[in-house]
Amino acid sequence: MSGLGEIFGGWPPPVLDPAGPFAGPVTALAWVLLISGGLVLAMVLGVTSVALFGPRRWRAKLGHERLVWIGGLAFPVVVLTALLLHGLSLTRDLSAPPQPGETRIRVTGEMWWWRVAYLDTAGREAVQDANEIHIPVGRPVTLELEAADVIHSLWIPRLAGKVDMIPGRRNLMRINADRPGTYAAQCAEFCGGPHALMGLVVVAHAPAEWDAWRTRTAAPPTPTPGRGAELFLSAGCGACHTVRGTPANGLAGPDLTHVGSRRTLGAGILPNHQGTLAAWIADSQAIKPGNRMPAYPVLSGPDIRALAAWLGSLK
Amino acid sequence: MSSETGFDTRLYGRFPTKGPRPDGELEALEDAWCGPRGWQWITAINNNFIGVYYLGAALLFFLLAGALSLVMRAQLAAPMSELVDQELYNQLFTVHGTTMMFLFAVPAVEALGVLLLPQMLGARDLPFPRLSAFAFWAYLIGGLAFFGSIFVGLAPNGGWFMYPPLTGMTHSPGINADFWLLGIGFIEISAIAGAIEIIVGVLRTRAPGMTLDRMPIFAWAMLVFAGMIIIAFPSVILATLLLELERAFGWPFFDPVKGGDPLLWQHLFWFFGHPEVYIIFLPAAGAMSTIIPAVARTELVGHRLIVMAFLASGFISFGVWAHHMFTVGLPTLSVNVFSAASMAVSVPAGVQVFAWIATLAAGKMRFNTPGLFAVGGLVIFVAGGLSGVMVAMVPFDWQAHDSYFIVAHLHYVLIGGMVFPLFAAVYYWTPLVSTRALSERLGRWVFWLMFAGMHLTFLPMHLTGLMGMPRRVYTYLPDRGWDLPNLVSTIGAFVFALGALVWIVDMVRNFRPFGASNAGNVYGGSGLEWLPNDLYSVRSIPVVTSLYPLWDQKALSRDVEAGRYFLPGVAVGGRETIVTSVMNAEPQLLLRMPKPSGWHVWAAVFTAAFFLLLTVQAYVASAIFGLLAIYTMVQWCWLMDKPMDQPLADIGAGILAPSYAKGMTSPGWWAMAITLIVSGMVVLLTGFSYIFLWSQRPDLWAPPAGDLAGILALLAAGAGAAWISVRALEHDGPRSPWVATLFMALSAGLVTGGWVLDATGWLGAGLKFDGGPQGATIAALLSWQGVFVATGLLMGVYAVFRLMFGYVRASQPTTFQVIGLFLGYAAAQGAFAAALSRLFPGV
Amino acid sequence: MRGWLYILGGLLIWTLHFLGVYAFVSLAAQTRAADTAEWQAASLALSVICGLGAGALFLVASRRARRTSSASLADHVAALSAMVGGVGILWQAFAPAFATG
Repeated sequence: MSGLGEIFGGWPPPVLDPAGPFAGPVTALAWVLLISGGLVLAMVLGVTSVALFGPRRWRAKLGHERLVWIGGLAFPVVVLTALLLHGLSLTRDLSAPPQPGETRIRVTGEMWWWRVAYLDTAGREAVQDANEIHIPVGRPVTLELEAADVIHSLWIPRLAGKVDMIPGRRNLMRINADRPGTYAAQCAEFCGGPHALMGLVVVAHAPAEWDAWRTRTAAPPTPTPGRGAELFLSAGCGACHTVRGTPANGLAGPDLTHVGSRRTLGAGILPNHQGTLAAWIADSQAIKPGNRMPAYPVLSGPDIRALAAWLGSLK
Repeated sequence: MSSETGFDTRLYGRFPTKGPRPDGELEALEDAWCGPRGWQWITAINNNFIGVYYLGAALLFFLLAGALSLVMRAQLAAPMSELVDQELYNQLFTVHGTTMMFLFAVPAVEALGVLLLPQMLGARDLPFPRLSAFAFWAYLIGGLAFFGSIFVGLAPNGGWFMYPPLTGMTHSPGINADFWLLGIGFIEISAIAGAIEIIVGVLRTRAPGMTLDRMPIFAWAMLVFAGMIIIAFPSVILATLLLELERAFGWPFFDPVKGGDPLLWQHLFWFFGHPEVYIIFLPAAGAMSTIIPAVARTELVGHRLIVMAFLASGFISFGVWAHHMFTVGLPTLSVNVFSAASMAVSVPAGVQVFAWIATLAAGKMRFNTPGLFAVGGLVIFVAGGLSGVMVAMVPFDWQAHDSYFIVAHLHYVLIGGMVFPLFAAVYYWTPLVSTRALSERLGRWVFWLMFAGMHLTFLPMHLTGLMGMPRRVYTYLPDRGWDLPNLVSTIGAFVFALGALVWIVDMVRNFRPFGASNAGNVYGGSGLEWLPNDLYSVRSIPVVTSLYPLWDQKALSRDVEAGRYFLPGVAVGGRETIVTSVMNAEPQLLLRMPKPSGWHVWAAVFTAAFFLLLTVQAYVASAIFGLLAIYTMVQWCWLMDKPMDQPLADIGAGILAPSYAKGMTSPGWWAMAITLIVSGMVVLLTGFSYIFLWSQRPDLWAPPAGDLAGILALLAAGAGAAWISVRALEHDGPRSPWVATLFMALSAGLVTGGWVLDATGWLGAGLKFDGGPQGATIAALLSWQGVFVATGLLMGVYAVFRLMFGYVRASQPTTFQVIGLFLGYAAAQGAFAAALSRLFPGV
Repeated sequence: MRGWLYILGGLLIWTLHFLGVYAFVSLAAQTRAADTAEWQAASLALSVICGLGAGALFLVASRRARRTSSASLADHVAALSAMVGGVGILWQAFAPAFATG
């Protein structure tokens, strides 16, 4: 369990460390609120201390309905009016509808992983992927959020606030990364079972690299035939998983066409290398209890290693 | 001052009466109010007992739910801990939240009202003592059954908010979710029963002369609290019913696959859920507003501002439900409306805080345990309120929502706003119910451990949330940097628990209830509850001339104890109290109250058995217990409205008051009217659900069916018959009882006919109840009305029985007035449902 | 009853206003058409009417609270709740003005 700290580390706190225009203003607001809230708290504590311990003359001044009118009515009304107007205008700005021609990515919350589909200009699902979202730097991207089973919520704190994924509805979320890098995300709405272990990685590329990534991803990989490929089909993996270019076309689980190139396994909970792949295949229930993939005790050690090696080669 | 009821207020001048009291007066009073012996404690109904049971049970649930949180904190002390597994953890946080909100917080503050209000208002008891006893037993049995589910692994695991579709049949096929619905069902029943009790108690049983201006601030808080329950709980009643109906019969309210909408649940749940926070907070604020002046030995600064603040919270908190839904994709316009209301609701909170501070400044604070808890609660509450303003800002809420920041915020609000005030109240009022006060020395330890533990637990959680940790996670990965703040929180939780432990020791050592005397006014309070009192409450019911009677009316204690005020003995026999008018508390009536009996306990036991057996799907046994429950309730009703031989009674100093209440002066009529408001809210919210689901899927709506004009005609005739029945009885002719009974039975039949015509209209047109949202919501409306029809028929039969026993008389019209009100309402409700489903969305 | 209407007047007006504005913004979301502006105007008109109502009640009640030698709690509370209700109405009147696009 290591190697994910770079993506998922909690310091500096992601909410206070924005990386794009849909998160930055919220961080600024957060600081305003934290500081002003702290000042008000200090003020109330100060007044209370005087009320409790102050000299008689000061207390007599405070112990009057006037204090309620000033501190409890006038002051909050003025401060809250200003805050409210600021909040309303910020809400409006951040909720602006997508521009025509914006890249659209459909993200569907599933129990307990993320289905990701890149839409073409006609709105069709052009490329399927899972548990990672790749975006170009500096361009706003619209995420179409849906849910397959229960309510989930996508939260990428460094890029934007969270938006819920609700069965039967489609919500929009816009993100835009300032600089290339990886950004942690996770499910924020309790969705049963291993909700705690439902993460996702957002990868922001320079625009040219992103174009290249898309072209590469759209094409099926050239899987090396061999024992791993045979095992993948004979063990029945294809009933749930798709690997384009092979007969495996299951839709219940994540698309594995390019699983070897992903940064994490198990929806953002393990670093991706051959060892973790093998461990996951052998007994994913021990790693992420409750997930929908059964353990495979029938596969021998060498079989599992072959399978893991082949999956790792799907770059 | 002009009179409200025609009562001559100069008669108050007769008190305190002079001269010695007659022999045997006190003994008669003691005899009427004698305490339970042996096993009789089960059938006790006096608020001195029920209030203590009630508060004790609520505090037991506080400790139990707190123990669950210690297990959770232990699990989260380190990443990837395997102390408890995922399933158990999900059950733990669900049961923790549900128990704290439904089995601790609401019942605890309600219990405080049941325990304190009669004494504070100078009444002998609440107006419906058996109802509050029933509410307590239903709550205790239902609560224990719900909580017990965690020990057998059957506890609900979908979170206290129970969002479908996760809690629907597809994703939660077990009976775990049904246990949640069961547990909540009991709390709904007991909360509403308690609310009726409190509203009627506060408005109608105040001591003579206790006008609204002189009504204690705690009573104001409890009045607003009870009113809010009446408006808010119907929403959760409806939500739980709809979810259970969807789970049992597949009627799609929330299931998007069949045209329902998961967001409907969220609207209904939070329309209850947000006001719920204020429902919990207001009584606690009432306690704070009572305790702070007492420990600071001065009058409450800004009493009227605080009354306004209670009322304003009561209203505005109903306009903020969607601030739990800022991330669900509501239109920006709606979000803005709710953001503005969320800001507005913080204004009354600010008023209260500064009024308390001003009171502290005006007096001189004594740092005893109630005082410490009050000031500590104030500080914690202010911090929670400020983070509340933060999350009322929509863009910030997008980040904070469902993160540990919210966990921190809500615990600051609830612990500062409710738990600390409750502990202040427990320390402050224990001398009232116990022969010994709690220990000041231990109390300080309790306070400081809890205060420190609270901050240690929840302050770091603000940061943990900003670091990206979501709520309701059973574990977390080690790479995320959340280890340290979580460890600190866990240590804090155990410090808090240590405080609770010291408190238990204090209670065991010093809490001695039901004694012959009490420890007395240790903290120097000003309210009537500190008059010398016994099981019959006060010896005589005083005339109140001040908001702080014990401070301003110096001789009051002595004169009250000497029996020199109202009702110094037993006027006509048995337990009695005085009913006064709403605004000016002018004496109107001598209310005769029931003696203890077992019927309400059996009713609670059978009701509990009915629901429990229904949950475990033992349908036949459940039906049997359901019938038994109805039988016991009818028996219970039968004891009421007995003939009265002595129409006027001397309620003190020769002042005469009727001893039988008719029409709107009768507390029973009030209770029925309030119950019907609850039902009216349920039906209005079902109407909202109907329109809401239509707005999402208008394509699924079939054209209306059935004969609306016929339905409305039958129902109008039914209402008319009920009216004729009541008037006929009042007319007092020789055949009046027969005519009245005939028309009442006819009314029940006509209302039933309207319902049958409504249902057959839809069924004849082939509407499928499980086919889509239209069928489902219409089925819900028909089912609700069906319950009213069944009850109406039962009442019709009951009326015939009363005729046979000769109880239908012009001098005794209350039963018929109440049944007539019920049937008239049922007709209107049926008409609303039939018309809405046929006129909207149009032909 | 009249007494309670007086005491709660400002808050009842606030409730009326809230329900109206909520209905208008829901309708605006429902129609999804270019008539959002009309709903906003209707909402604003409601705000003006309710705001004036709360203001009038505040003036009447606060005058009564000041004039009578022993002004009752009802007058004070009526004036205060009309004031707080008015603030709530004002804030909610801002809301429809900040619509997106």
